[in-house]
Amino acid sequence: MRTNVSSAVSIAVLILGVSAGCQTGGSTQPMGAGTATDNSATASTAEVGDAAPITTASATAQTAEVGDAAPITTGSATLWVHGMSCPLCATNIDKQLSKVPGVKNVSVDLGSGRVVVDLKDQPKPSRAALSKAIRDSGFTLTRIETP
Amino acid sequence: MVKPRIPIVFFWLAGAPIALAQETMSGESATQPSPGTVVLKEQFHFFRLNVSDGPARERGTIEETMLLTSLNVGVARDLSLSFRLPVQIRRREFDLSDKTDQVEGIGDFLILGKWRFWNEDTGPLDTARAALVGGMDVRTGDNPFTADAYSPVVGAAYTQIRGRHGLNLSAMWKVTTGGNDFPVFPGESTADFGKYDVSYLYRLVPRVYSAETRGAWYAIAELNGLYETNGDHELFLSPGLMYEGRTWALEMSLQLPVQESVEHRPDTDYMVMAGVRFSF
Repeated sequence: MRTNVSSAVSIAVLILGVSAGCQTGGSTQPMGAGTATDNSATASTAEVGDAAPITTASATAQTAEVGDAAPITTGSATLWVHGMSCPLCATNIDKQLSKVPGVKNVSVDLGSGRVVVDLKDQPKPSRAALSKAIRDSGFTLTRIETP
Repeated sequence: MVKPRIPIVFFWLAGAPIALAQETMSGESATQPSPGTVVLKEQFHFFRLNVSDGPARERGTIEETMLLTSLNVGVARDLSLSFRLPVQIRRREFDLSDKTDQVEGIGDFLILGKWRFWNEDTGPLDTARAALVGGMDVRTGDNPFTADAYSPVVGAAYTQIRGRHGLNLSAMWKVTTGGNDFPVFPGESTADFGKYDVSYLYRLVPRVYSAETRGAWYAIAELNGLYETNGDHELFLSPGLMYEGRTWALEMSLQLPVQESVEHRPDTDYMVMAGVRFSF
């Protein structure tokens, strides 16, 4: 049996050291939940199971828990998602949401976890359908907001 | 004589999983494509091995070039399938003569299923996931690029991402039902084979994600351990670099031996890997 310790290890250790140095710089990544809260400071919140459709005439933004089967009547919806850690994750979300009937366009902000979904006039997707798309993407939907 | 045969372990040595988010390059990650999404991955590997034991006439070097094609399909939210097939060229030089030999062929097929049984997303970027992996080495390769066996494979993977930092842990075990009396690579012998990996990823650029982010660069450091029940053990350190866009990714790494305790096969001098993957 032989044992060989490569001199190349020192190079790799150096690289590790550089990475560790970067880590000490700390992440300035904004906390998405905080950002979301800031953005929805004036929003009202619907209870779980609220079946009433959200009307466009509402003067204030409304926030609903996920799983609501009522169709979204507004022209867009904002989804707050956790777990999107990389650019490819955004594509996963985009693909699954684009399969939902009534979804016209999807815009993903990785830093805040905000996913803006533009909706067609007809058909209108329900919150449950959008929620399922996020689940199928492999991520966690925390809430849905509509204007 | 050391016969040139390709072990299934090559899939594990170099056949990185086709997960999506910040996946490790030489181990398994607990990430996977969503249902209906297909990821094609092409990885080029170059191995250099040293035959320093055995009869003097057999001593020398082996250079192995491999193109590994991997296809990963999202089946359900927490389930994906992976198919991996290598094309290989092996060139051998002997210390005591000018003789060289070269052989090319297709290796065995590996089918793996991955089931993510736990997932906790705690922030916009932060996630922790765990998955079980199981599959089979299928004897499909050309002679001598086949292990000539159907060997079950089981394992587990854990992935955690916090802001710019990513960690992957994985362990795999192959129950060998065949094997080679003259193995060249770890896992090729009749002994059972285990592989364990630890990888750390650090997002270099961008420092902060935004709606305009189209891609990200990562520095990667991996520890890759290979153990066989015949007592052979190797540990590698693998620094690397990766770029992930929204539909494609590039990756490259160098695998260097940290510790080698081997007496049943050649030992690895180094491995170089470059790869690209596309999401459809």
